[in-house]
Amino acid sequence: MTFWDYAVLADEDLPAIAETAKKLGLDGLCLLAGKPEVPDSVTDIAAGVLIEASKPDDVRKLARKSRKSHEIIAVAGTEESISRAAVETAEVDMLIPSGHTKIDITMAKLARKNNVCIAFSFSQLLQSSLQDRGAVFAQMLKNAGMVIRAKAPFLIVSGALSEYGLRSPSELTAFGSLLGFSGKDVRDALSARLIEENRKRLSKGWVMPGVEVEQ
Amino acid sequence: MKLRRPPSAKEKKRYLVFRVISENPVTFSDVKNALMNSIINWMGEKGLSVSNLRVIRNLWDSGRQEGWVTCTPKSVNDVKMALALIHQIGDSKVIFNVVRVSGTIKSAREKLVE
Repeated sequence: MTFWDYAVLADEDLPAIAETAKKLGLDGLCLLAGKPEVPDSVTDIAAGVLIEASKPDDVRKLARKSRKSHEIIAVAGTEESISRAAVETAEVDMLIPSGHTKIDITMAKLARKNNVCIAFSFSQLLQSSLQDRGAVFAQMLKNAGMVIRAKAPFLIVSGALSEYGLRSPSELTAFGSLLGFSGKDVRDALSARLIEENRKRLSKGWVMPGVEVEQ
Repeated sequence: MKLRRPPSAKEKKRYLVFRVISENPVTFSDVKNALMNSIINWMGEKGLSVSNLRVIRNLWDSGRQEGWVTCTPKSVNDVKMALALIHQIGDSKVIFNVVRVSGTIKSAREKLVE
């Protein structure tokens, strides 16, 4: 089985990050900051973009603009209105809610309808202070409850800002299990399914779901 | 005749083998202190006592930066999480990577060789 980390926010020292990811047992990384120029990388690297919009309309505009040039489109859910716009936009691949952003049942159902994954970032726990960590994890548990109830797609990501922010699939699986997800769902959340689907869609032969031109 | 507790009455345990990836090599005492602090922060003192956690000094390999801890089967995920939340020992940044979880030392060693 292949394991992917879909949200790596580091933009420096990319070869070292790729090497550490390989040591940790990750088969692929999606870099959301800057252009990934890593020649001879030991790990599969995908080019993603993190949309940090200030207005909900910007989310839709930026997602549509970057769809054809990036393999993964993520939105930073800094506010509830931004998160809502992200789950309403089918072009968005994943929403990364900030530590205190709430996901309600309507948003979770919209995420399921538009196939937008709700990402749970380990770095939000790692970077929070001890007092804040409890509140961040409590909000994550509530959001995970909504995701389970609505059967919305989700991802478990490290959200690493440097090579030492990366975590292995084993630790990310434990994080997912503590959030209340089943082992099978967590393994699926770490799999290469999303990137394979997006790469297929970005290939020249793809027309629409179920229709492909063979070359 | 010596009275012996039957194997079925013994408490089950899990051995976790972890590797430390760090900027500078770390010592066993640093690892143990960091681990205990992280476990207390994440699980609390009650969680620590319920998990029956032990850090095994004899099995620490300073060359490979590899260590072993034991805990109850129910607390494996919490211990993994507490290990993952350690990001710094002294001035050096670290990653704790759990490479194996096993029921016995023998089977963990066999799996590591594989």
